Amino acid sequence: MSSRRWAFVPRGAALALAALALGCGPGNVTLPTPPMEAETAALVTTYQMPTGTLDTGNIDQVLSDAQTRLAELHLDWLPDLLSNALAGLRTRLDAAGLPDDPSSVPDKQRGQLTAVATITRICTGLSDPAGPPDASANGTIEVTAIVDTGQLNPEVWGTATSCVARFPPAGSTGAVASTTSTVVDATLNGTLILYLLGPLPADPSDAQILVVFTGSIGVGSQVGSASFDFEISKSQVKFRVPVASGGDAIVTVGTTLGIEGANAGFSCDLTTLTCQKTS
Amino acid sequence: MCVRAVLVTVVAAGLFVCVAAPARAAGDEPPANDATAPIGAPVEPIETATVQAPPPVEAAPPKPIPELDERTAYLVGKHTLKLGVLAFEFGILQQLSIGTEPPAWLLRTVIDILVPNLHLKYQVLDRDPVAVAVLVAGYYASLNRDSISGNLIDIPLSAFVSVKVHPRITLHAEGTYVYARVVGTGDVTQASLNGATAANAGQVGLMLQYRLTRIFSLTATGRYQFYVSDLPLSGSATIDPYTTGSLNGQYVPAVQHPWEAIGGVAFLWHYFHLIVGAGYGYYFVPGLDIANPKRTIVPDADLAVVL
Repeated sequence: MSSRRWAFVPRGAALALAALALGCGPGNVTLPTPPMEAETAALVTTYQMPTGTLDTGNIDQVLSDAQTRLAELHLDWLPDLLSNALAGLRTRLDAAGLPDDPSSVPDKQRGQLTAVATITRICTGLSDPAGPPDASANGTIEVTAIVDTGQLNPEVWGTATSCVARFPPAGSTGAVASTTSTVVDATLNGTLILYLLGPLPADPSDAQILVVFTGSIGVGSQVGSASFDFEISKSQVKFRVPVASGGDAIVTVGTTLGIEGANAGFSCDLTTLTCQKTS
Repeated sequence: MCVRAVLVTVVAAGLFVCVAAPARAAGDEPPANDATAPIGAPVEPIETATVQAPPPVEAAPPKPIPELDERTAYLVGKHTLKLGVLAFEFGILQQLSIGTEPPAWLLRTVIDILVPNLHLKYQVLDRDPVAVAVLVAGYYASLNRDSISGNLIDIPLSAFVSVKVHPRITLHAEGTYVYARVVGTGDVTQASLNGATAANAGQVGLMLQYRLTRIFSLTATGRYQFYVSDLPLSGSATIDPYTTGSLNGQYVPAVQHPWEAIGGVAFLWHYFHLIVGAGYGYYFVPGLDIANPKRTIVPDADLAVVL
């Protein structure tokens, strides 16, 4: 009888080893490193503290450059597209109990999550017929966010793949004050970095992000390569303009263009194309 | 006269047996050589006589000492049903029992999660003073809520070794490996047991049982989690017709090495077992072996009917 009992020992050990082997996989997730992490952080600093030197001698040239850049930024539709993707990302993170604000401090008394969250958003296409959207026809935007031990990394990045959309969509009011009332048929291809300056937006109009885009943008039949960055802060848009003497000026879009340098600020009228020093 | 003396001797011997039997049952066994006559004593001639002795009366077999069968290497016994607050147990064989834990089932009334569970306990060795047993348990929880679709599987695998180091003192050692997985979509982590999310863990426990009487024991219990893994999580969800999301990650428990220390008493009557105690530390959910992430007073109580 006792020998039969001892015979159970190897079987029990085998069972234990099997359970241990099961416990070994799958392995832990290794968090990816956000692309251009250092450069993006430096860019954020530049938006907070412009580095270009402005004076009455170069402000007209800076205004001219700002107007050119403004036309390249597609502010009439691009911020809407990106803000909607971020709102979807927030929904996913909230559903998983993950933080949606990079500035929130995790509660050390609780267990913490380390995770990679990916959102794939099918673009609306030109007609957006009833029924499930067609990813192959409309293209997609995929964004990735990482949470490290309960802390949301402010850098979210992604890829736009043949994303086709019409702006404004029917019934849309737009997140950012549109500079044009015309309908835009847009195509987006390229890489995106979205640096969170505040919590992920529950509503697209609440987005606070720095956008860095490299790729190609098509409007109608015109397609061109583009590389730019701009900042959205609750529907207010800022973008960066290099100053010939060195450094960057930051331009705030409104009824007038506010141009801030390291040493001075100007307010420029887009109708009269004149600038007045404000600080 | 001689007949009377012999009768008195027989009656006295009978009385001795009657008194000694309960004492042995209580663990107060005399030394093995106490019952023997001194060796080498001079043999003296005695008078003998033949008498008609009454038929011999067999002494009742000593009552077995009830053993503590929870978190020890001892089992309830063959065809014994134990209905306890913490566990229902049935002895299929002397060395094999099967059971389930009502509190896990009753979680449905508190947090609306049904946790079917079953465990098997097998005694590998029982050679006095050492006993060894293994226990395999399985718990399943469906974490479906409004926007959640997930499953929790928890499989604790335990080995128990009980050693009687003294007629009154028994040490019960335990080693447990807990294999746990949560898979699903939505707020899976929040759906876990109010924050005490399961993870793969290794735990050791030690109980000192000091038997004061046949039924009453003092117990001192300690438990320590020496290893815990992060809990891998993965899931996907459709946020709206245009948007799908996926999540891959792991949950890092707030407390890596929880412990508890409990002092208590155990009353092991024939038909009732009562265990009461209290201590301090991180409460380990009985059976599931998942530690509460907050350090508190730790209660320990169980009442069982043994049939």
